[in-house]
Amino acid sequence: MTGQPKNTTKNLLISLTVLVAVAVAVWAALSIDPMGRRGAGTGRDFDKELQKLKKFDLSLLKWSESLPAMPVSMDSPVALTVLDDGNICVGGDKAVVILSVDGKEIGRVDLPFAPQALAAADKKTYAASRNIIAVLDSDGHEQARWAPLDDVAHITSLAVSDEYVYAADAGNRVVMRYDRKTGKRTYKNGLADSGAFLSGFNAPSPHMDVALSSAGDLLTVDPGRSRVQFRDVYGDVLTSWGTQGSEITKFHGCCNPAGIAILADGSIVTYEKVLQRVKVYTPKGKLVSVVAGPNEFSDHPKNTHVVPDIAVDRHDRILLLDPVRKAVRIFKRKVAPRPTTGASR
Amino acid sequence: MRFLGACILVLLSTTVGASGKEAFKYPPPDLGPDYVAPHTSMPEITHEIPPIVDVAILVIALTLASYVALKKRSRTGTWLLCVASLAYFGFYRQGCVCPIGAIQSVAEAIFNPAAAISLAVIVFFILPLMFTLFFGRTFCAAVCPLGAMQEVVLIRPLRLPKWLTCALGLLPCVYLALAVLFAATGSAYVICRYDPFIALFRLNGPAGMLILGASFLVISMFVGRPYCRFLCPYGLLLGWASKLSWKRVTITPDECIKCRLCENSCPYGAITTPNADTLPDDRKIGAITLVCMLVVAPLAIAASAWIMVRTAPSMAKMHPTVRLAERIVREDAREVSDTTDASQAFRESGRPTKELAAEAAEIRDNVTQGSGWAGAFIGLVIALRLISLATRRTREDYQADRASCVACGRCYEFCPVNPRNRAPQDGGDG
Repeated sequence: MTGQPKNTTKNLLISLTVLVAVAVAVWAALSIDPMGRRGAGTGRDFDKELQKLKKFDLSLLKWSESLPAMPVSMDSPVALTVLDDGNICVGGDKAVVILSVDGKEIGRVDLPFAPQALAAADKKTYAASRNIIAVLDSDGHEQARWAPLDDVAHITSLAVSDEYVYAADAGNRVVMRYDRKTGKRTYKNGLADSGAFLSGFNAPSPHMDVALSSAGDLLTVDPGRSRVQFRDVYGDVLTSWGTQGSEITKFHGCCNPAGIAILADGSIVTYEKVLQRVKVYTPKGKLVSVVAGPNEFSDHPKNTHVVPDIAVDRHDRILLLDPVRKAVRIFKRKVAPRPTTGASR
Repeated sequence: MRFLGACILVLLSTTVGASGKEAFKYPPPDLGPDYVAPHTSMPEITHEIPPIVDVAILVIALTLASYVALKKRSRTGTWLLCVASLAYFGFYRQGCVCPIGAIQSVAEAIFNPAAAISLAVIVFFILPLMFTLFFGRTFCAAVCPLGAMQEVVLIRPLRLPKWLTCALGLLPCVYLALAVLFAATGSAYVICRYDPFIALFRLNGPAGMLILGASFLVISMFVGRPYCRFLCPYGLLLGWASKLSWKRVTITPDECIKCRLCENSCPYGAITTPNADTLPDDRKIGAITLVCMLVVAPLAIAASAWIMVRTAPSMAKMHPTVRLAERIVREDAREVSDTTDASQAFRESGRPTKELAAEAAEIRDNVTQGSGWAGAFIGLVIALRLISLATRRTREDYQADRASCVACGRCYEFCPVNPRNRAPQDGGDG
């Protein structure tokens, strides 16, 4: 008599167990995510969590953007430099545009090539496009063109000293040095066998920068190693700093900083792509302040790899040529820093 | 046969010795004059066990399983072989290559001439089918590691209602149609992706796969072979082959005495009972039902094809190219603010978006066309099942159902006619 209810209870328990197991199996099957989360084709382990990395200590934000930005009438503005008279020269498309200090377009000269890098000194502007360097006069007209580099060359930055023009060639991962007067290449220790003034850079993507400090030091960026290098006139490294990492004090990703500029006090301004940040470091590599955080830039995937050119004007303002907004954005030091901590916006 | 065997051996051995070719896809970076780049070496592709060994073991296992199930009629022998197969094909070979997954490779190779398929995979696909045509589903009985896994954990089988078994029995057909569709269009190998036991065999895998495997194990403790009966697409093919088999498992080696001892012995519901007393006398009703089913059949095929074609846009998303194209459209329309590895790689490749969109459109067309055929196939199977239900067949004895019997041999132990089960004085085993 007692055997039947016992059996029924047992069967009921087993049935319940099976039902629960079926439910769990269905849930597990659905969680397998055959299409990859968000259609990425990869599992969630491969997602890049940039939102978390965008946060930084807001007390470091000691610069503010001066509005409005200076609009540039170009489709693809990519190069920026400050002229001797304080005007701003922007290169892109197949032209250079001269903007006054207050942002008005005061000149425009069409060129037979699209400038990718600009530098100016002594009323001369040097414009580079892939493997060529041209010398422009103060009105932007081409005066001379130096012997082109090979087809692999991809000049991304120029810097001018009293004697030389330095060109960062990300294609060959070298820095070239040209004699300003003759336009001829000069080599380290006078030896031409290396084919370049400086070599041995690690540039996985086409972003290399070069700059000159007021003290005469040559600054180069080795983006693959996340290093900013100070070099003497012979090209030897005096000191270098920079660590790869997503923290605000470090350089994010595989090849950053993508650009540098130098403030009047010798501080170094850096620009990082992908996790877009503009920061200021001491010459010894200590983070001083943040100029603009990631939320100041478009994070659309099309735009995170677009690298703005940066420069410092005579008023020690940081100029940033934003190719997405097609404008020169100006950042000035804040009077007093904000002490709060948290998300940047 | 010897000549054929020798040919297979030669062909298999030629597939094993291929080695990688050294080449740089991109030029190495210039790391400076002081850096000495190490010599890049490509190790020889090595197989711990050559495919020919797997094929040989499969042949031996199939032969043994057929011998033990049909000739020796030994449940113990079948069970031991089952454990051995689980150990070798399951845990040692980690469930790959298996005939179930081979369906996809074969389907892809048929529909996409550019797709490569190894001879071992073809052999793994064909051999169990061939053996089934001769000896019934002996592969399921003792060779398939998935079946073996479920077989060894079954402790207290529940008897499922007939309607539920019939309804769930249609799932393998849907699974087969989808698996072939996705493989033929180059979208995905869903059978492998959802193999519930592969993570257990490898003792590794995503949490979802491990949980799925554990759940199936729990279900298998109380429901006989749930994967084989209600999901396995290869089991469906074997079931069809088994219907035509030359020899097959019979509950009794002699005349059935209708003792009913075997009636509840099969945990898989594969024993059909005598129905001579239960069939309606009026054959006219059966005929009308059959005519109705024959009328319904084309409608079922058309309806199923229509449903599948309607779901084709969603199914096309299984293809990575379609997913990527849709992702790029969403990113360009700023519907999403972030990016994915695939979309970034595409953008950096410099390939025009229009070209990607055109390729995705072509794949969608293929999936839509294939969905129609897959739907028609599902509808056809449903229709045939309905027709078979409406067909009168008189059964006088207790029989193992040709399609669903997995030749496990449990019923042997219950049959008093089986010489092994006779008492010594009756002359059994003696």
